[in-house]
Amino acid sequence: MKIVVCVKRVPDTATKIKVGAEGNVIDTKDVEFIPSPYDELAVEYAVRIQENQSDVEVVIVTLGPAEASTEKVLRRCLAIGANRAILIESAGTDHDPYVIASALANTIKEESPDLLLFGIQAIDDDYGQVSSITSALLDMPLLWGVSEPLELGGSTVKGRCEVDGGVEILESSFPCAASIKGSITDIRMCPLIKIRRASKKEIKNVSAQLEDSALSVEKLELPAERVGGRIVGQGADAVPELFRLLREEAKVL
Amino acid sequence: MTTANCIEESKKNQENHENPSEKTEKKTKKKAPFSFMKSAFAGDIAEEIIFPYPQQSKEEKEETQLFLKELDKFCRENIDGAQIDLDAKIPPEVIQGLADLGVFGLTVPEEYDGLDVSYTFFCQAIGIIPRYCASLAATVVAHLSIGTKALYMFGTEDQKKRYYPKLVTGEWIAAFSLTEPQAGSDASGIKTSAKLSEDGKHYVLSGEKIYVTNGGFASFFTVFAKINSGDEEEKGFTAFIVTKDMHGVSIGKEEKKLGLKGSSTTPLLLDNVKVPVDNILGQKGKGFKIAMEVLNTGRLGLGGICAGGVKKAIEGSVQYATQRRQFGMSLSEFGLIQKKIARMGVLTFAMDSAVYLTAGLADRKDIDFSVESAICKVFTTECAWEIINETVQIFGGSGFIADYPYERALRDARITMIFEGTNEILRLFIALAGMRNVGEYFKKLGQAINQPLQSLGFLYEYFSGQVISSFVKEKINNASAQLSSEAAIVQKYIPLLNQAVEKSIRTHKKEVIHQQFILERVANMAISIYTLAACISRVDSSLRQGKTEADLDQEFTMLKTYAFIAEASLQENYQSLTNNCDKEIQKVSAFLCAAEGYPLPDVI
Repeated sequence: MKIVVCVKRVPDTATKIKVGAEGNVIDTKDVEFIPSPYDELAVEYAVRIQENQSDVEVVIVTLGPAEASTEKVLRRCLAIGANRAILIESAGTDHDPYVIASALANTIKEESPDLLLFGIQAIDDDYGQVSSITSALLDMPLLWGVSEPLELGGSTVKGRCEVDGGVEILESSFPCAASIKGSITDIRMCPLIKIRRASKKEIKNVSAQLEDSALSVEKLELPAERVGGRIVGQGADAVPELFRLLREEAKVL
Repeated sequence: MTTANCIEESKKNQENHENPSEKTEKKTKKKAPFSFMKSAFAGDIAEEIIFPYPQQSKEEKEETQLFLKELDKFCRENIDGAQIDLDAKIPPEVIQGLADLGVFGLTVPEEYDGLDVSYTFFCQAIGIIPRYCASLAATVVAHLSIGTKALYMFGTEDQKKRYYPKLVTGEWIAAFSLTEPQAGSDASGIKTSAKLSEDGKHYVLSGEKIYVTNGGFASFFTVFAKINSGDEEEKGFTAFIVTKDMHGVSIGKEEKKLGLKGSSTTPLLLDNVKVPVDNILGQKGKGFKIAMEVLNTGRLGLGGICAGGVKKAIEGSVQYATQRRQFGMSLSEFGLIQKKIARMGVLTFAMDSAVYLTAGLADRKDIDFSVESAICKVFTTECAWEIINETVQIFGGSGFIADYPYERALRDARITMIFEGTNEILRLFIALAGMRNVGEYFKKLGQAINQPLQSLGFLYEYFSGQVISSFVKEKINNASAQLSSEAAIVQKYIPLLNQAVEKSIRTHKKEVIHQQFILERVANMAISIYTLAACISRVDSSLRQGKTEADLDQEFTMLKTYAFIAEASLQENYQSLTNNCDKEIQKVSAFLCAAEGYPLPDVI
């Protein structure tokens, strides 16, 4: 069985985000990237399937700039236990979900996986659409929001999917896709020996012609910093100044 | 270690390394790498050794970063430093977790299922652990840095095959046993004896070792003992592998300590222990050299621990200082607190710079870094003590309360200035190891004067060229122009260090080894020179990687601040070589010792 896992690199949750000079992307300089946590769980889950069955290959596919920080994210996935990785080179990751999904689908088609795994959503933009669009483009059924390990039969896959207000039990034939929710497994400790082995695994860079995004980010803004209160003055004399500030500065009157 | 030992230690570190004074005659040949600091003592700025600042390869950097993240996560989730301190015991599952991560294999060759990481990697990794539990860090480095190091450096293939399988998994913990009740700093005074059995198959070891870190649960001991055979070759002492299962090995009572309570410290008692001759590490009689070489790298590791560990104290200090409000302001708005915070940052910058420069030198494997690693040990342990002490001060009353981790940190940090060579002994070592080269040159000069005809060329060189200045490099050419005022300090004080050394040798001749007041000042100068040079090289390398001064605003500001601190210390130590109250100090000390206490009656 071949499992392809789609992984997105996202800023580490501990990173202090800065808006870039263009005003609509984050400044990635000095940002540490990690695999998006749901995607990382999908990798871990795929590796656990591999450990319990013979002849399972786990391939990571990501889209992003060909630079050290992206490679580090892939090495991390390889250290968890994936066999190899493919990097679809693109200047950034700020494309709309359709553009990303088309690029992924083009590459994944050549791999023809039996099982295609996604994290349910990336933790940076939270679109949660790439899994649906990619599997639609590949004409693969999608088990969306799988919360427990899949039942992998000889020719079918059964999954428990959490939807709003209930649970769906879905069954599909191979090949099929699934997007993974947090509770499916947990990430194990990664010993240095596995990290070292990962450094020898293959990362293949492929180039992609990306379509133009239909959706674009106009502007990014950090939440306004909270400012403490201030004492304008004391007694009746301060009232006019207080009114002026409430009207002109705070604009609440 | 006595002064005499310092000299012996300095001698052995010099083997295989060319004496710089001999290089004069072979100027045209490519210089063999030597030691930056030993060259500095001779007045030579061997800048090619420290420029460019060492860098990890891209692959190694990636591997290191991924591992550090993993190790940090494990420590954060599984280690309760306060509980370990309270119980005076590290839970076995913590040791097991570290073993699963591969920590016990860090310094084991790959062919024995180890990971054999570089010193640069190693220092970073062990810098993570003390942020959560210093006792655990001590336990781990006692195993990796000193307990198994002699096996790594001097073990035979057979010995490695026998012991690594258990050591690499953490199933066996290792310990280093040198100190004895009568032999602390003066290691050459050890009494533990080793006598060859009649059949020649065993050495029978008897004696008592004390303050053995990991003693309580170690199974593998690197033990130093004296073979009393009368053979000149075997004089001095010898390193043996002793295992806990050998008959006659027993472990004494666990010591109660000021800090590092979670680590184990016990005596090791050897009562006619039959140790197979195959268990000798390295050559017979070369135990001192082995011990010193092990401690050499051990000191660098301790530097990694201190430079890493203090970052947790800094985090705590800064968090508290920005949140705690008094007089309507946060503490961080007060100048006297800013001073403390800034100094913490700047010292850490210098510690990191020195430790990772030295680690890079150690990784080259062709360079003598003994003085540099001793400098790292003295500098980082004293900085760590100051930083933690100031953290307690910033926290005020809370810092003194055991609900906060800083009283524990202070207790834990105290031993670092004592073990792996007290900072006093190491200062003597730094000064004497550096002076030795200059001394050698003088010896040659002495010979030349006795045999003037044969040595005309040499004498001519001496009288015409002011001894060493005829061949030394006195300028730093490699540092970027933006760093010239900091480089100028190093450039100014290396010749002054050399002058001070020359003058002391001329004045005191052989007796210089007993001039501890002078040696300490010389060592302090060396420490400031090396740490500042390390900072300069570090910033220089960032500039050369294409960063601008604006990008490096933080680094530049820290460098400037540290240069100020280092220069002040250099000035003070240099001036006090001539302007001091050493005589009074000796007299006052004598008064107190004679009176067996404070000598004067109560003032009122």
